[in-house]
Amino acid sequence: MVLQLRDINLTYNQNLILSNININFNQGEIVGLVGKNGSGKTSMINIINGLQKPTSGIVSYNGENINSMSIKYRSKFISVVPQKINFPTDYKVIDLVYMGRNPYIDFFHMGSNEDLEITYDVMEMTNIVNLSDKLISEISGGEIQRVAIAMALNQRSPILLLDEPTSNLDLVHQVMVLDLVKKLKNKYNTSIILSIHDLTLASKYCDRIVMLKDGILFAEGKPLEIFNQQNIEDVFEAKVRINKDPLDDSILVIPEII
Amino acid sequence: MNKQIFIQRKKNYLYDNFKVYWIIFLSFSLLLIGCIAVCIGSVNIPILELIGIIYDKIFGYHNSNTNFDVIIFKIRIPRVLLAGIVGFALAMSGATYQGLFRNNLADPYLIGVASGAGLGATIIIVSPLPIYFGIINVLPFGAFLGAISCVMLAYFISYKSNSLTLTTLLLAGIAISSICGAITALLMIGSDPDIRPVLSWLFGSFTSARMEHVILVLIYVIPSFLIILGFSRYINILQLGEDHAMLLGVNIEYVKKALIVSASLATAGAVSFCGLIGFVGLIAPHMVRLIWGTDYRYLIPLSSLVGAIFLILADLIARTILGSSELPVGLVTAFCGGPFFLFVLRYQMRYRFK
Repeated sequence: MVLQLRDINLTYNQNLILSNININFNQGEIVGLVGKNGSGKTSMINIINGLQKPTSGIVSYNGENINSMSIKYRSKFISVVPQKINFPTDYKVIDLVYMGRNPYIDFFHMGSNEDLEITYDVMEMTNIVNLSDKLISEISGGEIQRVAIAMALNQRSPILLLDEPTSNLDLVHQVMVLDLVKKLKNKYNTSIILSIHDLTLASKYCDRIVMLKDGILFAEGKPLEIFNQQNIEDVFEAKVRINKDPLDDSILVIPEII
Repeated sequence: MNKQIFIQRKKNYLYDNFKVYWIIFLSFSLLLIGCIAVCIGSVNIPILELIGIIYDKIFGYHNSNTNFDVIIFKIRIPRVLLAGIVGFALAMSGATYQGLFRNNLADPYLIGVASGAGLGATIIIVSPLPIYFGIINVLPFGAFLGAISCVMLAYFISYKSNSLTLTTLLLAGIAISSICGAITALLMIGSDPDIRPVLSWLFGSFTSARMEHVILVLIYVIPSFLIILGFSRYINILQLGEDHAMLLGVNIEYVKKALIVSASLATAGAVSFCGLIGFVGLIAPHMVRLIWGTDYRYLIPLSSLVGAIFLILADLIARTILGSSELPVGLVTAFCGGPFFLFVLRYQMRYRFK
């Protein structure tokens, strides 16, 4: 058990955003957060990474409260790929990826050879080595997403949060990002928490699914167990059909056209 | 590209030798231009003689030409030094504010330093107190107090539950500026018609530069420069937005406070002795950005040096171009800087030396 959320409540202007969330996240699993827009996925990710303090409840990593850690110390354990990435356009790719090493660099230093080696490994893994000298204004949306992931990987943290990593990407890049996430899990045993809208992809890549509805933990478990017609129709309030992929038994969610 | 080649090539990302050479080159140019500016004036001094006189002064010989001695040490050197330091400070704070507010239009007077200083100076001039307290001119101190209190007011208005909201700081700065401007105008209307000291102060001038002023301004500028240079790596990360910077382990509250306090102190210190000199804090960082790129670790020292050189040259023009009388240096910076800035903007000199 790595990361624990205990009795998390979050209210904002008397609106209940999250209510009574209790979840454990284990080492080396991919957890998919699923729910409608506004169901509290991003709030949950922000609570886990410490940007948002919960109204009540505790997030702890190996028994240590996330909110009482210093910002620099915390960023060694948790890295995030935010939903909205606004990179300044006149920076080079290498400059940005290297910023991911910041938690390990002291105030008076610029970093060492080792930091550069790690940066190279990360850029190779995300396949952006040949872009390293390009400006952000010169690369495509899918490449920017990979730069953001490389930046988060450069923090070498045991927990990686991705807030809708696939939502602005085409099919190839969606699969590319999720393959990368899987590779990361296999190579470094990283715990990965990602929010995702595509349920078919979620069932293919995630080890566990957390379904949120109006800030309440609606269901939790293996994708095969909880992706049934009843749950999906309840959470998304839409008509769907569920099929099985004949090749790997994962679930295909097909929207019903009325 | 394999790993070894990558590391060899990117090493100069860590220490960009090329830009370091430019910093050294600009420092020497600054020294040279400073010496030339000391030599030129109503009495021209040959540069070799200047070097001789300074050499004699340092090593304690007193056999040099005493006429030149007075001109050099009492008038020219303090003036050139003050112009250089003020240019340095204004460009440095301009670059810092631009990075901090992530807005290329930010200038050193953004959060109320200028109008606060103006109000402070006007209060001193309008009040029945003498401007000269013994031999000490109290005008700079009034200006400094005014500047600092305006910045403090804006700072505390935008400070809420342990965090500083930069947008509120900007808006508060603008509101406080207009209030101070109104009070200044009111005081001027109600007072004697002889408000020339305020006017000349508002346009900026180095006429009354003295060695003590140089030292006082240095007390503010040197620590501010060191702090800002130390935090410059974090200004780079701050360009991603505050939230993202925090996720990368930057304690943004700490960084914001340190940067705002040091940049405002440097600006207030600079402004209090020479008045409001526009354009330097805007132009120097922009020029550097267009030529050498946006990396704040180099942008801040480079634009400080460019600002110093620019203001020394502007002051040289201001005091020589009309022969006997002097122009306010603020007019010169606007006349030279404005068109040059427009030219640079038009042609977008995106030529990077790399």
